[in-house]
Order: sequence, then C-alpha cells, then structure tokens
Amino acid sequence: MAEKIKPPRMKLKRRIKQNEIFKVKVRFDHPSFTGLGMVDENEELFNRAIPSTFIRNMLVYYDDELVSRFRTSSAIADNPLFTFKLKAVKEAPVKIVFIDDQGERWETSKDVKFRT
Amino acid sequence: MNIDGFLTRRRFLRYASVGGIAVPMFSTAVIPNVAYGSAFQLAANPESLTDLEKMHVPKVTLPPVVEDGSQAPIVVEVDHPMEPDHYIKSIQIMNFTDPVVIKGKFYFTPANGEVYLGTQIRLAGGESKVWVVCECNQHGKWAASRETKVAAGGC
Repeated sequence: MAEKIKPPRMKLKRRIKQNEIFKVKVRFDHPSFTGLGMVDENEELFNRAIPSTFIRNMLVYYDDELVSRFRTSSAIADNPLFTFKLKAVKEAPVKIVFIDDQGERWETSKDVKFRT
Repeated sequence: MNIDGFLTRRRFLRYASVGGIAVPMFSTAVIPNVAYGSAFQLAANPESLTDLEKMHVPKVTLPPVVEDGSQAPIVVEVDHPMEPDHYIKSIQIMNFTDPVVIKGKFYFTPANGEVYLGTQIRLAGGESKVWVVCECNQHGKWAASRETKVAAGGC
C-alpha cells in the first residue's frame, strides 16, 4: 500500500517579507479509516471490522529545527489538507515529514525566500 | 462495656489534648488536587469575554451542517502572543459522542508566530459537539465548543 502513496505537496508564498507570518498548506493523499463497523445502529455500538490506517504524526521542521508536531488519530479525514502558520525569521527550508501508523515516512520540502 | 473503669478523668484530658492538636493539624494539610491539572477553563460569558479569555479561548470555525462526515472542515485560531516565555503549547480536537473521541493533538512553538490550524476531521452522523482545548504554557487549558449536524456519518 505504501508504495502507491504519492509524496505530500506543500504550498507557500514565493516571496515572503522578513518576519512576516505566512501560511503553509500541505496536502497528503493518504487513506485514513477508523476500521470501525457499526454493530447495532439503535445503540450506536461499534467494533473493529477491519484494520485501521491513518497518519499518526506530522512533523514540521524550519531550518532543521522541529517547530510543530501534529499527532493525529484515525478520526482525521482521508487525504487531509493541513494549514498552519510560521514566522519567516530566516531564509531556510521548511520540511514536513509524515509518518503513518505502519511507520512509513514521506517528506516534502520548500525554501523560504525573502522578498527583495 | 464498662465505660466508668476505662474513661477516667485523666484519660479524658489526655485524649482531648491529643485530639485538639491532631485534628486541626491534619485538616490544614495540603492535599494535592490531582484533577485540577487536567481541568480546563471555559469562557464565563461567551458574549463578553475578559482580556484573559479573549487571549486564550480558541476560535473554532465549523459549518453548522456537515454533509459528509468523513470530511468535516475545521479551523482553529487563537489570538495569543507566541513569545518564548508565553505561548500556546498545543491544541486538541475532540468529540465525545464519536467512537474515536480524539481527532488529534497539535503542538506549537513560538516559531509558529500565530496559532492557526486548518484540517478536516471525521464525525459520526447526527448532532455533534466538537470541543477544542488549547493549552497555554502559563495559564493552563482553555476550551471552546461548536455544535454541528452531520448528515452522513464518516466514522
């Protein structure tokens, strides 16, 4: 399954002012399901129908320094788009690493460049 | 039981003096409140927030009606400074009526500049109350909730 998953895609502004707070958008086409099936609709009882699959961790590095960590569960959507903010203090790469519940890793990186 | 033989005047005074010291001593002993550490604060009046509440209570954007419970969009913002000694450490998204209660816990640092998080979560069908808890490194945990109706459950 892991071989078929494409690497995540990150989007940020091409030119950023120094000390500007900018948005980072990252989409990762990774399936996510709880694996739960409803046993009884009246009582809303669930059991584990199939194994769950989900993104467990998203790590954000700015200039090789860990600045954010998102720990998600199987209740995150399929192919999620995460948006968060960073402060542009230096021209350096932003690297995002995804790790799923099987321990597989994917990463993407983009450079922060200042507007001249 | 013959109380006359046991409880003499001397014994009564001795027990009374020991009790008079011991009871106040134990009643003032500090007992740590374990539950306090995990408790969170809510806005007393959501219509008029105090300065501290404005800074800490998370702003949650969630549609009032969600068509597809497997892709419920949520945005969380907190108007809080992100300084090295005073910042928001984390945001947690939960729904206590879903089979998977915790959707995620998102950790931030002062390098983020602002606390902003946009993502999509799974919600079970029916009426839901989504809770967001944010944790300040100085002022503890603060919570806010939004109600939504989910047409088709996504769990």
